[in-house]
Amino acid sequence: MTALLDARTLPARTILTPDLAIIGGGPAGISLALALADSGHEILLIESGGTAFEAPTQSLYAGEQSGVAYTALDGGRLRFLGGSSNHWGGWCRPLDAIDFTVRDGLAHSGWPFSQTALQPYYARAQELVEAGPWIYDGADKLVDGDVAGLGDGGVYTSWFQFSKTRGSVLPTHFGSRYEGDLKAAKKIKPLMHANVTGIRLSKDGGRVDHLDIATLNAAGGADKHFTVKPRFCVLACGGMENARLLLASSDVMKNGIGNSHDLVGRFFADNPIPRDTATLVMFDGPLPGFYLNSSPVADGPVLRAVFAPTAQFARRTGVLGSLSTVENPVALDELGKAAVVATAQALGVNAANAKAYALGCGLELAPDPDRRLTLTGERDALGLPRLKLNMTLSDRDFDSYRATMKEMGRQLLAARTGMIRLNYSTRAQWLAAMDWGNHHLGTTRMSADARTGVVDADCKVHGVGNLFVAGSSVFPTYGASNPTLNLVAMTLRLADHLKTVLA
Amino acid sequence: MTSKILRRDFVMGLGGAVAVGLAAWSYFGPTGYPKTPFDDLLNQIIDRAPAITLGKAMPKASSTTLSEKLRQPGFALRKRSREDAAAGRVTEIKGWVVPETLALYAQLAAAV
Ligand SMILES: Cc1cc2nc3c(=O)[nH]c(=O)nc-3n(C[C@H](O)[C@H](O)[C@H](O)COP(=O)(O)OP(=O)(O)OC[C@H]3O[C@@H](n4cnc5c(N)ncnc54)[C@H](O)[C@@H]3O)c2cc1C
Repeated sequence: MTALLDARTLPARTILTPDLAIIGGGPAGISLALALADSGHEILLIESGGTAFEAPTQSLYAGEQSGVAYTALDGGRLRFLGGSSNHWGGWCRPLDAIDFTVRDGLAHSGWPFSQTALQPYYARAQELVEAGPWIYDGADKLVDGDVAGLGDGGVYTSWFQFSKTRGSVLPTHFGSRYEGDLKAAKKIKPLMHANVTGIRLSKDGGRVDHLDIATLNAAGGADKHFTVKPRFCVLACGGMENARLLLASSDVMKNGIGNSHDLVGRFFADNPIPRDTATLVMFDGPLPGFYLNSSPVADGPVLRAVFAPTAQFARRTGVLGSLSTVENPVALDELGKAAVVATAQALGVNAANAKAYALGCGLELAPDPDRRLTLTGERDALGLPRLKLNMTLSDRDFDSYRATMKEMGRQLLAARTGMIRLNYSTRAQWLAAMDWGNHHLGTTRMSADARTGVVDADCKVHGVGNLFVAGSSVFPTYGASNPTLNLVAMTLRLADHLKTVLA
Repeated sequence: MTSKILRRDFVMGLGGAVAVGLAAWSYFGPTGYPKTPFDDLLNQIIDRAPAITLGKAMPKASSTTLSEKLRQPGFALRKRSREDAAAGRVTEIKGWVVPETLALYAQLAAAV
């Protein structure tokens, strides 16, 4: 078993020459390394942090912000082995087929391949996130109780599964969970406390020549510098840092690597999770517990029901993805009580046992090139320019969700099972209720065409022969599903491709 | 003597009470609300109070205009409210998504 190698113990100016350098030891980097463990190639997994939180390393993530209020850049991610999986929520759900398609009226939408290209990789991704057997939308048949009677229409009950919790450890922390596997793999060398500070291209810009690596000293300043000269390189530093390293590595390509068309850092996205977006009333009494809590079913998987727009409804109306969760029971005000009584009487149903709930949701954002990361003049302790995020939210993003909820309200009335109140109608109300998934998406978007994407369908940076990107920064459109299961599946697909190019 | 007076008082009292009751009946009708020219519509509402509360949350509208609309064939409260959602006829009242027909009846209840 190899130990985790600490870069701070290497002599300065060491040159390492792996077949493959993976920059970043989060879910993407770890999944990739493990998938290639038996490929026979020497793999160097370069991780900025150690195996636990260290403030000086974390502060390398700090940055500036403008626009809509958003999580601080060093607050919504973690910089040590396992990356942000050290504080993720473990919510898992595959992207929907529609998320991959070009959608009418949704500019910049569509992936260069369909959902079927990811299908072969989901089973293993599901194992890696430890979310149990693959059930998702087959869960209706497994759970104890009936799904909400929505009747026919544009909204249906869909399902999340959850990464396993063990003892006091919440969902799978990729670092601690897979540290043993990384150490056991003969061909993987995990290099800790090693910060990539530059990706240096050959003079013609066609290949990565080497990576600059720096370590931090005890005082949080730059310590040793050394070099990695890989045959191939995968950037897996998370949705913000991937863009930062490409933009900052501007010695050969003046606008940064992969940025000939000014796309790196643009189209940043997240899944907003506004609170208390709607009030759901079920005339017949309480909803089953699997709507309110993550609920284990008999043979293990933990599930939670949510409300989602059908693909047909999304295509017809242009609504974006959304996943609405039932949060907690609520009391109705006088108008609410009057609305329920009057509606139930008009429909001829008994609402004596009616129960009201607050809904929350996770939303998909429309791609926006102005929601972007740029470099600032300020530098971190290792000399890398810091990031600035300009965050935007368009009214369309809110209107779209309202339309979905209104459709759900219509369905409930048609089925005579319940009704809905849409809680927000102004931008100010939405913004006041806003929270974030901290799912960093889109900043190195994928497209077969170099004019509209940073990476191609194989996740290779356009124009650079041996540089690939792993993680949700390659998602060109986002869906409402949480990204990790999907980015792990994407990474496993990349691993298959790398097996052929490394050979 | 005493009992005679009592009987007369009693009969008069009863008569008065019946008269007041009849007057109230003719004024309020069986619902306990004052009679209106729109009772053929309003009497379709089971509990008027919640409908009025709902209607008051909507913009004010003319009861004559509303009643003209609701007296069209096919606008019975129960039947049409049940059909509204399936036909895509829903409206928002301070965020509450309700059948359009119910909203019109509620608006009328609040307007009279
Ligand atoms: C609070 C919170 C809750 C979340 N909940 C969920 C959830 O329920 N479901 C879900 O699907 N997703 C969730 N996420 C998102 C999830 O954590 C990310 O999708 C996932 O961690 C991304 O994996 P990654 O490997 O691409 O990037 P990261 O996890 O960000 O890992 C990147 C790694 O790269 C390293 N690194 C960075 N820069 C350098 C450098 N210059 N040199 C060397 N190494 C570097 C970092 O130290 C880190 O280990 C949540 C995120 C947060 C913050």
